Amino acid sequence: MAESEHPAFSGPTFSGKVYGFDAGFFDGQTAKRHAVRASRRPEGLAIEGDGISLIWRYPELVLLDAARDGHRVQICHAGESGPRLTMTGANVRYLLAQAAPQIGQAARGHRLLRPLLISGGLTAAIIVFALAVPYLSRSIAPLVPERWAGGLGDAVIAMVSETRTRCTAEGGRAALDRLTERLRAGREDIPAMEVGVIDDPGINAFAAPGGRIVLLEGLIRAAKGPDEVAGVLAHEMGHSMHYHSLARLIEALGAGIFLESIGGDFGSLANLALTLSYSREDEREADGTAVELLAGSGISTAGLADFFDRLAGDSDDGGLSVYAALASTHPLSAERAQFVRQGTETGAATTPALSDEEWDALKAICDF
Amino acid sequence: MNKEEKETPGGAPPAAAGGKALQFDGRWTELLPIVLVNLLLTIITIGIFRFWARTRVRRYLWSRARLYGEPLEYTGTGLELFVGFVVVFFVVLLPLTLIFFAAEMLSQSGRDLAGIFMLFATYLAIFWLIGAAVYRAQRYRMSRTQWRGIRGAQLERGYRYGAIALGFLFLNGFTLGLTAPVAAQTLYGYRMNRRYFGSGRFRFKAPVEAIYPTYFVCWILAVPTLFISLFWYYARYFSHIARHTAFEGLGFTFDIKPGQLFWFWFVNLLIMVFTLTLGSPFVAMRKIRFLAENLQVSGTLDFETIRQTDQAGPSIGEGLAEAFDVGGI
Repeated sequence: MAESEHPAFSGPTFSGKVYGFDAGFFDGQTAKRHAVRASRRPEGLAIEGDGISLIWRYPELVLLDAARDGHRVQICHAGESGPRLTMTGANVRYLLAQAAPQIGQAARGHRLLRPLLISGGLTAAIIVFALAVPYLSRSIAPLVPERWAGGLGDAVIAMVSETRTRCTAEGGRAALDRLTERLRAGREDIPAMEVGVIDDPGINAFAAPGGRIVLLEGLIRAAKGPDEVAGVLAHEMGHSMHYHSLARLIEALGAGIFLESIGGDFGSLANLALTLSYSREDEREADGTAVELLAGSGISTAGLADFFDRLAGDSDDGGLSVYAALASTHPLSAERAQFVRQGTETGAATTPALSDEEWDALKAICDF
Repeated sequence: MNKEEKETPGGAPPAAAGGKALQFDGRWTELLPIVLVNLLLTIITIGIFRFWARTRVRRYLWSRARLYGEPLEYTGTGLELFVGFVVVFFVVLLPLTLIFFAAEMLSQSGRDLAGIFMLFATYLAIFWLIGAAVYRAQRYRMSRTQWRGIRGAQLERGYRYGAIALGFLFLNGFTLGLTAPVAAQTLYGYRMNRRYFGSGRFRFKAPVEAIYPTYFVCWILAVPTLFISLFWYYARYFSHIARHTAFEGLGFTFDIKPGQLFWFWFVNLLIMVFTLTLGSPFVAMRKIRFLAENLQVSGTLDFETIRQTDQAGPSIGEGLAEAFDVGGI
């Protein structure tokens, strides 16, 4: 078991004696254990006995496992997958490490550098991909055929509205169509829109793919005048124009699932953070378009700004902040209200979005 | 009973004799630092490191298991697992998600029947793939397990196995579980009879009648005993399949008591619940130790006749098992 010493030899790379160890060698061909002598020679580790005679050069030795006390090591050769050598003897690990320093370091599979470099690099690549996702999905969204987008939009609205009825009172319908046309007037770049009202007390509005827009009746009731409804409608038309909902759907179905599955539980959190940041970006863009549409059709932006203020709870009359629904999908800030308010230049000629009769009809759109 | 074979200066005997052939000396104090470093790195890489984390745990557990005195070695890599998962994402997960979405759209747009049919077909495909995933995970691990310079192998790619497992799933459902022993034994045999270590072959053949009297009693008592009676059956079942499994000249016994199995299972459950599954490497360690402590091997094996396998094994990791979370260790 103990190492034998051969003072006649001395190595050029280490000032040691030649040590020999009892060892078991597996040749990778059969499971037979060859009882061999493994000797530390200047040119490499010599493995001899039981029909085996070979030399493994020191730089090519790989430590696979070592006993806690250092008196047994299992090694292999970097170039071969099968053969294994198990050496036993007092301080065998220490003595072998004098000639092959890597034997003194962590065993293969216990080293962290390579896994860290690879997984770190992949993490960086995936983060870059995730940041590029909004741009990718926005370029893809306009390419989706209108028929598919319309079908998707109808299905989304069906899901949102569940069993609630779509309001179709004649006068209200006409008023809503007139308002939509007025906002679109002169803008050839806006695709056709389908605007509807759902009998629901919530204060909210949605833009679904394919130019589908839904206002909840609660929003119309909460509005203090037609300009406020016009403002919200213009904002949703902005979402629609920029294909926001289609892009989000593509993100959720493609990139979102990729991130969540590749990262497991931790990936879901990262994905949520990204989604929230995209949504703020979308809101800013929709606000910008809303201001353009309102200004283009001679409607004051003060209505939308007031509405935002009341939702955020900033106004004197207590606000509507109890209705968290719209706020949760449309993060509100004083900054946004201010941006919208500045959209109408002082002294610009504006007219109410709807006449008094039309406004009354719109408010009664669900009464039938 | 012959204990561990001593390595003699003159070399080990050519053949192994039976007894307690498998020994495990893993320690939780050694596993804990591995698990903690894994957790930290998994968090900072938003989850990507988990493939390497799993590999590190396996390497440790394998290296602490010794069969006839020689350690097992796990030769898989984290990159293989990662690539396996990415392939499965594009080939399986993404299409499945799109199909689910399309089915939802179909039923929302009034075509309920088409939607339901689509969902049904998708669920069938998922259960088929889960069976295949179990098989493929074992196949990968066998191919990455090395001992005495020889690696393991499991033939076939698992799709047929998945189909058979799916068939038994329905059968067990229709018979309220009465066919469960046939199903379990057939599937176990299917895997075993395709499993190799080098040129050495595992074999399993057992009469299913032997286990039925026990199962029938436990099945009747299952509901009144809140399914505790099944531990009695499982203890008998494990012993039954071990007794009828052979590897070349070796036979196996795995005789455990129902109470022993219950406590083993119960502590595993507690570990998983109280660590929110983060302690799964410790459960894996307990499983290997449980196997090592209770497995007896009889007969002799001439190591010289076990040649290296010509099966290269899968080149990428068990992506399906990761996707459906049926990976085990």
